Amino acid sequence: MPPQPQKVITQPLSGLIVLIGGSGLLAWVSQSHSLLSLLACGLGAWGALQALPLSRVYPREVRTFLHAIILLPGWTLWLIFHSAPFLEEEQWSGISYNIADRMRLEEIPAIFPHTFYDGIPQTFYVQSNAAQTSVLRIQNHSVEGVSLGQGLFRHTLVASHSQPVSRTLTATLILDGTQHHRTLKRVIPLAHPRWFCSDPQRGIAVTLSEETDEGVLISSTGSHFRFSTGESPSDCLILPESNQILISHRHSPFLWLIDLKTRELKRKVRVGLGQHRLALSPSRDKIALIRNTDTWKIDLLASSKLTRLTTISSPAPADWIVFGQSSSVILFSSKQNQRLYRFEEQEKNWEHTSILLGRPATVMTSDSLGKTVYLATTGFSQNINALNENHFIEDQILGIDTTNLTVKHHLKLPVASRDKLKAALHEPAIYAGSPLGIAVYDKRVLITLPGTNEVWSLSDSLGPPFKRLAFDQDHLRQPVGVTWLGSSTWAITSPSEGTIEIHYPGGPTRVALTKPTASLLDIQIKQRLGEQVFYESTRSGRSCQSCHLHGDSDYSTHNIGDVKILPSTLSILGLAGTSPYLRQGSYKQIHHLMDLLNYTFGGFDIEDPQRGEHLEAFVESRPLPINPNHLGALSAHHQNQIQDGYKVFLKAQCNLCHPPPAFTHLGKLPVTSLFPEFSNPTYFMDTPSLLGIWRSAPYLYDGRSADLKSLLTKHNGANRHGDTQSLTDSEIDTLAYFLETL
Amino acid sequence: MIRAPRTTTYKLLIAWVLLVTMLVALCANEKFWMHNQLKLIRGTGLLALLFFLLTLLHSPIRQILRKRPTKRQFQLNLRRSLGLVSATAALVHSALALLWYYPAEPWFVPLLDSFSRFGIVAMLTLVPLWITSFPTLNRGLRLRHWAALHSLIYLSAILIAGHALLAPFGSAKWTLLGIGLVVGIRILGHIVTRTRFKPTFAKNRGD
Repeated sequence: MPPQPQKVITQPLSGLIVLIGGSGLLAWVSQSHSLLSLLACGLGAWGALQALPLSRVYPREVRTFLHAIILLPGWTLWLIFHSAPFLEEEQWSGISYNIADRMRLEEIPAIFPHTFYDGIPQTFYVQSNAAQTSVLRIQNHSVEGVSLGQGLFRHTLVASHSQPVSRTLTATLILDGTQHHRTLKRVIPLAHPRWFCSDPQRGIAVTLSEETDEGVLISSTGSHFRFSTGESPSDCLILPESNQILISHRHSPFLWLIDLKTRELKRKVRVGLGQHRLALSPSRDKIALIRNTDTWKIDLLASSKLTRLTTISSPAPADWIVFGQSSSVILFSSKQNQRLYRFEEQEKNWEHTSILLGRPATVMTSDSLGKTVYLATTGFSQNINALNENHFIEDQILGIDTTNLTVKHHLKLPVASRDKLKAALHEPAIYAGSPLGIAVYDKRVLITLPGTNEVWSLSDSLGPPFKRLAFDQDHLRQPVGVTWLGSSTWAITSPSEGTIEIHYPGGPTRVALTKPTASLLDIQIKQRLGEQVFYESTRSGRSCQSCHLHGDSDYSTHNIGDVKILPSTLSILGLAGTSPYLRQGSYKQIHHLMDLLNYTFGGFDIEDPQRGEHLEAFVESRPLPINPNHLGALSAHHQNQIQDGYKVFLKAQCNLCHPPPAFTHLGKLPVTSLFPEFSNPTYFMDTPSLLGIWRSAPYLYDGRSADLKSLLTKHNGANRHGDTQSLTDSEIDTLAYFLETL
Repeated sequence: MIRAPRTTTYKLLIAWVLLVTMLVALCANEKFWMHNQLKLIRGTGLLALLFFLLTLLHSPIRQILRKRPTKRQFQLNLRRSLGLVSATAALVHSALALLWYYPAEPWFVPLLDSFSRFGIVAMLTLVPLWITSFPTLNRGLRLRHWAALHSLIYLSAILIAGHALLAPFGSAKWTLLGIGLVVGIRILGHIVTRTRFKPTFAKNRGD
């Protein structure tokens, strides 16, 4: 029987108040922090409602008074004491950021990324309803979009530096002639001098700032000269014979030759795209240039005329490169497979051997004769299982013989282990963090440690005499590059401050490449401070940099608490606007990651409540590197291939979880819903953006898939990670090609 | 006393049994299921959400549009039907989602994540409402606090809003619009009712 109208009106009111108020009281008393415990409280209050027929016993005034007593205190107390933990437990903390990101993508036409980086080539994706043409206009730059089909466009913009005015700007989308305006965050780069190329005998060195497209020539006399290097300089060499500086460029096919005296451009030499690092042979007759495009190669050039002598195919993308004792021996490290390669020319063929480092080299250099190569890693073992301890990071410096790749010298830097971390929390720090710079000269080795603001001096056997120079917090922060400028003078760089410091026996001279802090925008200051947090060691000796090399992945798998599942490190480049974050999608805002640093890694010696905010500003300021293969105009053939690839992308329903323009739905899924064979069903997985996927192998949660094709075939047995089983082999190839172009 | 015709209830039940049978039959077809599972899950979720909104909006809209309640029997049947459609679609949505997303330990793993936790608890609150929306069953159960029980719909609404906002596939914009619409229209309906019927209505209530 449906209820009598009288009861409908009177009883539920009292009952509802008792129910809600009683739940609040119970929730406060039981310190409920989760939805389920709150519901248990609700059930308890329901029981009370059944036991207390309030509406029948008391007159109206008394009832109202009782209702107020029951209703107010419980929830008030709960709100004061337990609402914040509840929001955190239920993953509502920072939900507004996730919703804001999602709403930006739902506003059609939508553009992604939402951040514009001054002076850096960048790709924007625009999703329209069904437009035929698209033009993107930012500041005074206009670029026509390449149609991928279904209203999706890609715009590659190479914008020059401009004067900072504000932290946002307006992008204009012109779709079929109709204008739409979207607000983008703006990142104005600051000078970041990193590593040096040097000529210690002449007492000179050059450092580059890729962000601001400039170089700085310093000398042992303390003088310094700034000069323009062209777009995105990646490395430099001083050519003593010709008194020139050679500059390679990440996004340009040209090498630049700059006069040492006038610092003006003398000549450009076309060598091709994908230029990375340079090395000069001990006899100074040859130059090696790393070029990583869709193929990985080392160009060998004659140093006199910069003509190409030969090209060596590399089995993996090279990162750091040096010559051995002769021009016919080249050594390079690879981040992607954590190996050190030795290539030697034998009867016009380049034969290679290699050793497994275990973790990538974070910096590498050689002595002046090319006998020993010195490199730093975050862990060294040829037995990969030895690196699978819980949160294993062990910064080490290795001295490796260039003739046979044997380890001659070995220095392990102290790191507090996870087991000893609790005991170490209240003791003075004994760790050293993240060596990123090595300089060798005159049997002395200098090492920079940005994690602890230190420079160490050792013998060339990595032993005593040992000197340790620690900078205080108000002095130079996070030194990275280091070089000798003679036997007693050396220089260091601080990218996060934009400074160079030249150290003489009498004391240091400082060169500041950025304006005084007071003239910077507030967001720029936060980015600077956030960068320092990124490199700063926690009390366990680990920092963000330990795994995310300069924001990128270390291409390794790590035990983060479950030895059976070893997740591969994700890159943080281009992460802005893709909330939620972390592999399990457990954090809606980047600054929530401070929980990890504070609790899992032991926190910092000096408390600073704003670390999270600064770290967030820094991470959001890191752009996604552009694919060098897709700079400039695409041929009609490639364009057709990409359009076909996007059709296959839609056919395989990849867009259900990776919808354009961000190529992620900004959510997470249980891992077993896609990969039923995954060993732990309780794991959730953030849906990553596919942008930049060309450089993020190995793929999937634990890096089980080495390439995109195996990801789509071999590792999609249940056909839940896209409907790839309905695709033909050629469609799979087309889809893999399309993904690599993102 | 308000009593829904039995035939209406039976028709609704039969229609939904047919619909669920059709979905089960479709899902049993492996090829169809493989290609349409996500669409089915999202489609049933959207359907449930849409009808839930209509259920919540039905009474206040009626309050705003009409000066005096008329055709009460028809209106009650309509609201009940909307609620039943919503709850049944939600049941199908939950069953399909559990099958697809949580093939391993579906009784435990969904509770680990806030998004699915909100959905499951919302579903649990809808089940008693769904069962007690059939007058014949109510008569059999001899339910005393029907109206109090059905105030659970507000808790369901909060949980569903949470589920929809956290849903990775949902539209944040439309969810927020939906929440705003329900809250706005309900407040407006309340104001309109109080303004129009306050003197006599309060007296008649004997409150």
